[in-house]
Amino acid sequence: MDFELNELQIAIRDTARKFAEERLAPGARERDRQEIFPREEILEMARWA
Amino acid sequence: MNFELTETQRMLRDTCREFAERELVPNARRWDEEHRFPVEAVRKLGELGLMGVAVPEEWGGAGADNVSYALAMEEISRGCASTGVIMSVNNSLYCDPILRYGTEEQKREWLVPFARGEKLGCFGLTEPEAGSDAAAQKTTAVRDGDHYVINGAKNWITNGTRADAIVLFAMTNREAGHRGISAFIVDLNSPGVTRAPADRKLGINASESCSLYFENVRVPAKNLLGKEGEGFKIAMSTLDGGRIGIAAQAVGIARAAYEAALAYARERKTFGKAIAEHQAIAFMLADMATEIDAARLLVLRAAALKDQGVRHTAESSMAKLYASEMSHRVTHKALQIHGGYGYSKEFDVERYYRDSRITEIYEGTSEIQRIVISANLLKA
Repeated sequence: MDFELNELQIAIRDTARKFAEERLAPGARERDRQEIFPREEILEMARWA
Repeated sequence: MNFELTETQRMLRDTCREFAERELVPNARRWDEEHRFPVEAVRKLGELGLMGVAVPEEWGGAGADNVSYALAMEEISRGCASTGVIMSVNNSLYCDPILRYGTEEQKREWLVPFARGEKLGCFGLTEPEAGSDAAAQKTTAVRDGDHYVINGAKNWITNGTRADAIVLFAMTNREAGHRGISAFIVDLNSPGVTRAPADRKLGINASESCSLYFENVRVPAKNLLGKEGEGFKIAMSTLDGGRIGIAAQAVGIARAAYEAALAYARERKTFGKAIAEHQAIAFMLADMATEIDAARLLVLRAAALKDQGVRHTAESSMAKLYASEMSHRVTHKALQIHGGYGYSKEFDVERYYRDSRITEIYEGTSEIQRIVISANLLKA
C-alpha cells in the first residue's frame, strides 16, 4: 500500500491545476451561458502537453 | 500509488481470515446471545501476535505495520465484532500510547506481557460527565511523595471488567484545563479500585465495558506516562490511531453483512427468480460493495500515513466517520434483503446491524469526527 504520488504524477497534476485555474476557470461561466465549445482552450491544452 | 499489499500483509490478513472462519464465525452468535466474553479466542489472538500487531517484536508484539493492523482488525471483526473491539482496545488504546510515550522500564513491565496477550489492557478517558468533552475531566491525581493518589470515576471502559491495567487520564492541575491532564499506567488490581458489573448494551455483547471507581488509589510516580500535563496530547494522538482500528472494525462488520446478503440473495427466490436478479436487490448489493471498498481505502490510507509517522488526525477521522456510517447503511440493507429472516435471531444479520451501531459512537461520535475534520479544513 502506497498512497503517495510520484514526482511525475505530482508535476502533471500541478500543471493541470495551473492550466485549469489560469485558462479555464476565468471563461467557464461565459462559455456555459453562450454554449461555446472550448476549441481554443483544447488547442492550448495540447500545446501544454 | 500502489494499492497492492506486501507479501507479509497478505499473509497476516489470510491468517486472520482463517482464524476468524475457524474460531469466530461458528461461535459469534452464541457468544452474543450468552454475553460470553471470548476468553479462549482472545488467548489464541495473543499467541498469533494479534494483541500487539504493530508493537515491535522486542516489546512482545508481532512487529507488523499499521496497514497490517487494519487488515487484521477487519478480518477479526468480520468474524466477531466483539472480539474485534477487545483486540482494538488492547492494541490501539493501551499498547500504542505506552509504546510511543513509555520509558524502557515502563515498556518492559507494562507493554511486553500485554502485547503478547498474556495480560489485557484498557483505556480510561471517558467519565460520566466528560465524554465528547474530554477536557472536562473530574478524576484527580495528587502527588504524594513517590506516589500519585487518584480519585474519580470512569465509565464505558471496554475490557474494564477483566483488564490487568489501564492507561488512565486524570487532572494533575485543575486550573490548567486540558493542559492539566496527565496519563498514568494503573494496575487495576490496586487497592481502592472498584469495578462495576458489565454494562448492558445493544450490541457487541460478547465484549464487556464497565464503570471503574478509583478511591485513594496510590500509583507509583514512575507510572506517570509522558510528562505531567501531556495527558490530553497523549489521549488525542492515541485516538488518532484507535479510530483506524474502529474504522476497520466497521468495515469488517459491513463485509460480514454484505457477504451474508449476497449469499442469501442468490438463493432466495421470489416471482420465479433469485432475488439477486431483481434490480432492486442487485442495486443494493452494488451500493454495499462500492461503499465497503471506499471505506477500506480510507482506512488503509490513514494506516499508511501512521506507518510513515506523519500526522493523520483528519484522515483517521474521515476513515472512522465514513466507515462507521457506511457500516450502518450496509447492515441496514443486508437486513432488508433478508426480509423477515433478517429480523430473526436465527440469522446473523440482526447481530451485524446491532454491532455496527456502536462504531458511530465510541472513540469519538460521528459528531466529534465532523468537528475534527472541519477544524482541520478551517485551519488550513
